[in-house]
This record gives sequence, structure tokens and C-alpha cells, in this order.
Amino acid sequence: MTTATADAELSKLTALVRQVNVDLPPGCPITASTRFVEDIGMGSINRLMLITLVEQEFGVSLEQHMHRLVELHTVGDTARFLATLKGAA
Amino acid sequence: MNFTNLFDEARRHERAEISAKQIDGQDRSISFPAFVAEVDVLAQKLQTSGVARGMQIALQAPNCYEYLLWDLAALKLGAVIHAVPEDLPAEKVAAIARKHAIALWVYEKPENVAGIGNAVALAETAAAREFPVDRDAARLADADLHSRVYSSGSSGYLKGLEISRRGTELLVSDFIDAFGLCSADSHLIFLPLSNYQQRLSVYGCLWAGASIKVVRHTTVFQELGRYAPSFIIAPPAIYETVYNLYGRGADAKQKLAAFLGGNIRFMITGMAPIRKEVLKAFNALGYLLLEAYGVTETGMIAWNTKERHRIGAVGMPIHPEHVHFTAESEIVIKRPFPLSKCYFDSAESDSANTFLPDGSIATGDIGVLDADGFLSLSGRKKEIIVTSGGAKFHPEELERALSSVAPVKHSIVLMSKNDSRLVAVIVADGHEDPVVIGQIDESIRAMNASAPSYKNIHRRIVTATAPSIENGMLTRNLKYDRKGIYRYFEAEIEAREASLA
Repeated sequence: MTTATADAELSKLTALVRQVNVDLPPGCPITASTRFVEDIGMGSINRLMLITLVEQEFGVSLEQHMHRLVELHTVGDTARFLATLKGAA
Repeated sequence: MNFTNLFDEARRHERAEISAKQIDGQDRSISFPAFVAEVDVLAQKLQTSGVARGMQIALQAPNCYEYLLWDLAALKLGAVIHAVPEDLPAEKVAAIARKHAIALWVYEKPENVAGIGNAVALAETAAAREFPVDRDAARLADADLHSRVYSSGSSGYLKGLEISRRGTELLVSDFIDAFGLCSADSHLIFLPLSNYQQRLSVYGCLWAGASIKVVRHTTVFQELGRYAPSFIIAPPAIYETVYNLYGRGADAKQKLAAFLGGNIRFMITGMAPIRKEVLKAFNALGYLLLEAYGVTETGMIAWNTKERHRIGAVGMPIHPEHVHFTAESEIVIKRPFPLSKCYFDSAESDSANTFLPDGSIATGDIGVLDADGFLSLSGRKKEIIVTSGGAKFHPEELERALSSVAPVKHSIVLMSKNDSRLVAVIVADGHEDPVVIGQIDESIRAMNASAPSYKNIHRRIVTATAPSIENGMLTRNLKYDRKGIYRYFEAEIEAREASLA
């Protein structure tokens, strides 16, 4: 996976995180190191909605990967995991 | 609905289907008659293995096809499902095993039943060999005992509840009548089946011929569009999330139709307060989103329906003659067959405070009926704030007023431990914007001016941090955890700032 591809995945995921977290102020930065719970207060139901949007946007099925996903605490870790799924497909 | 004829009724609905994943991950879709036939086979096998009327079958399982089979097979035999919460850890499962004479344990996770001999894995449900039943296990004599379940209540503290067979039949019948449940309906169940509400829905659908799909909560948003149910029952947070993404803008109606599957006839919410803005928005877009109110101890108490609904109320009492109020406005239910008969595995004080000597049940909720007979809730009895001067009021009165200010998403009013003054924790858009802060302060000053001094809010904390289970500010039932919120903001709550009062 190239750096450009990784950046593109991260960018798509960041946009989805912002879409789900409607309460985030427009200027609030979301980067690879942003933590879902501690930094942007994302609740469990919002994370489920994010997973739904990710499936649509990334064209992957995440149902079997729920256990792994809940262990990923940052946007960057999640983007890398999604990239590996796409690579494996 | 009555359990005696439930299987015959279900068999009549040849076109209705149950869909669910089996515990091995395989998708299963089966007609009601074929499902009843599988229930018969399991019941027969249980009987052959030694399960008799009144024996307890402990079931600790996630939402799956086999859960439904075990529940209905136990019903067929008159055995009692002891529904253990899916996520209860092994040490607590062991405590249940020590305390209750369970005839057979049914499990998903072997580590949870280590050392228990009379246990069978869910995956073995259809295996040919007999189940390792403890044939000497006690038989519970109460013919009205349908199931033993656990409820986490408003505090998250686990209590056991004995569920009444007759209470279940009456409640399910009320639901079918009030919402016109029929064979054209389809219902998506995603909350845990170990929470009794979901099993009630299963019985109602089997009786009325409404198809059912059971999924795990983690896939709820994907399944809404895939299954396209005609009705769902969900906590407010689900609707809030859907509304935030799809309920706004010129094309909201189309977006919602696509996301929810396009077949929704009605949607029910309860378990926690929902913002009026969300209720109004869904209803304005043609989605009947109805608040309902009940507790597991009594069963459903009030609900809004298509014919009679009012935003801001939890509906009209289903049986007004069952609903009474104490002098403190606590709702007390007295009905011939409440859903629960009593607690088990709970503190004596809990039983004494809830199941009253005259047979009525104290809900712990504070409410009022309006002139048209709609019931509104104003909070929990135990959350009433008692001022240093002895005045009592419920913080939700103030919270509702604060939440009507445009940028406010959540408001929680607490009392400072140091100076006994009221402090509002406010979650708002633009929490650092001076204009927003000014708008909030102005609203608080206006509220203070028109309220008695003991209801004056002296300080406010404006934050972007919404309450969640993860940050300890919501209970597992998605209700405000006021102690958790105090802990989270303790430094700010106790900070001596200029008073707004």
C-alpha cells in the first residue's frame, strides 16, 4: 500500500468520523492520532453508525471483524486496519 | 395472546418467517410452522433427557436462532428459562449456579460454565445425544412463573425478576391490539433477547403472524435497510443517531426511507427521555415515532399510539385504572397480573420499596397526568434534589427548560457538595463561542428570575463532551449517571465562580 493510498483511506475515514459526530465543532482537528472516546467523546452507538458508513464507503463487510474493531482506539489504527482488509480482499 | 394456543396460532401463519443467524454464523430463515416443528423436536429431546415442568434451564446466549428455539421449547414443556445476561462474567455465572438449582445450563462460552457438569453448548442444540440434565433439580411449583430474568434497572445494578405467565399474556395482547400487529408486519429485534422486552416481542409476532429478524446490536444500522422492518423498538440514542445523519435537510425523507428500508409503519422508543426535536422531526417527515413507558416490574404502563399521541408525553395509560400516584407524584401500579411477581437475588430493601404489601408496585418514577389523560414523566424519585432548606424538586424540570435553548444538546442539573448550590452541566454546539455562552447565560438568568430561589442555577459548565457509557456519564441503559457526571466534572462543579443567580 502506498503512502498516497494510506492518506486517501485516512482522509475518507476522517470525513466519516466528522459526519457521524455532528456535535464536533467545525475547527476541531481529526488526525490519525485522534482517539474515538477520549478525544472526541464518541459513544458506542455512534461507533456502530460509523462502522455502517465505513462498510458503505469502503465496500467492505465488517461483521466478522467487530471484536478487532472495538480494540482500535484511534482513527489512524482503524484506517490502517481497513486498508489491510481491502488489501486482503 | 395466550401461551396455551401460541403454537397453534404460529402454525397458522405459513408465510411468516423467522430470520436469524445460528450460533455457528450461518443465516437461517424459516417459516413459522417449520419453526414450531423444530421447537417440538427440541422439547421432545428435553423431555427425554429429563427436563420436567417447573425445572429451570439457564440460558446464557447472544441473539441467535437457537435462543428462540430454547425459549419456546421450554415454554412448551412448562420449564422455566433462567435468562442470564449475555455479558455476565464467569464468576457471577458461577454464583448463580451455586444459588439456583438449575436442571440444565445452555451456554455459548465454555469458560463461563467451567466446573458445571449439567451444561450443553448452544452449538449442540440439534445434536443427537441426550442433554446432561440434572434430573434431581428442584421443580418450581408456581404455575404462573414463566421465566426468571435479570434487569439492570435505572442504576445498572442487576436484579432478578420472576416473570408472570399471565402478566406476559395480557401485556402482549395489549400490544397487539394497540398497534394493530398483523401478518403484514415485520419486526427487527437487535436488543439482547436476555432483556425480556425482546422475548415479549417474539411472542407477539408469533401470535400475530408478523415476521421477525433477530440480529446482534452491532449490526442494527446495516440491518434496518437490509430487512426493511415495519416496526422497531429502540432506545432514544438510536433515533438520535439516525436523525443526526439522515433526518435533516431537504432530502431527509428520501434519505430516511433508504436508511430505514422504506417499510416503517411505526417506531417505539422508551427506556430514557428523547429530545422533543427528534420526535417532532421524525413525525414531521411521516415517521410515527412513539414514546412508551413501562418497567419490567409492572410491564408497559403507557404508550403513544397512532390514534392518540402527544409529543412530550409517554402516552396515555394502557389501563388508567391501574395507575395511581403517591403524594410525591410517584407512579404506583396496581394491576391484577403485573409482568413481574417479585425480585430474586436482590436486596430485601429493594423488594420492600418496590413490591408493596397491598400488591401494588412502586415504579420510582415521578409523573403527572394532564387534563387529556396523557402521562408525562419528570424524573426518578431517588434523583429528587432536596435543598438545604428542605425544599424538594426534580432536576429534570430545569433540564427540560435548559434543553429547549437552541444550542443545548444535553443539560444535567446537579448540586454542589461544597456550597449546596445548583450547577448545570450543559453540552452544547459552539461551547467556546462567546455568543453561544451568552445565549445560555441569558436563558439561565431568565429561568432564575421566574423560579423560586431554591431552584436557581448558580453556575454552569458548558462543554462539548456528551455523556456516554464510555466516559461514565451514562448508565448501561443509556440514562444519565448523575454520580458519574458529578465525578467527571467535579472540579468545575465545585469551582467558586460568579453566580448567575
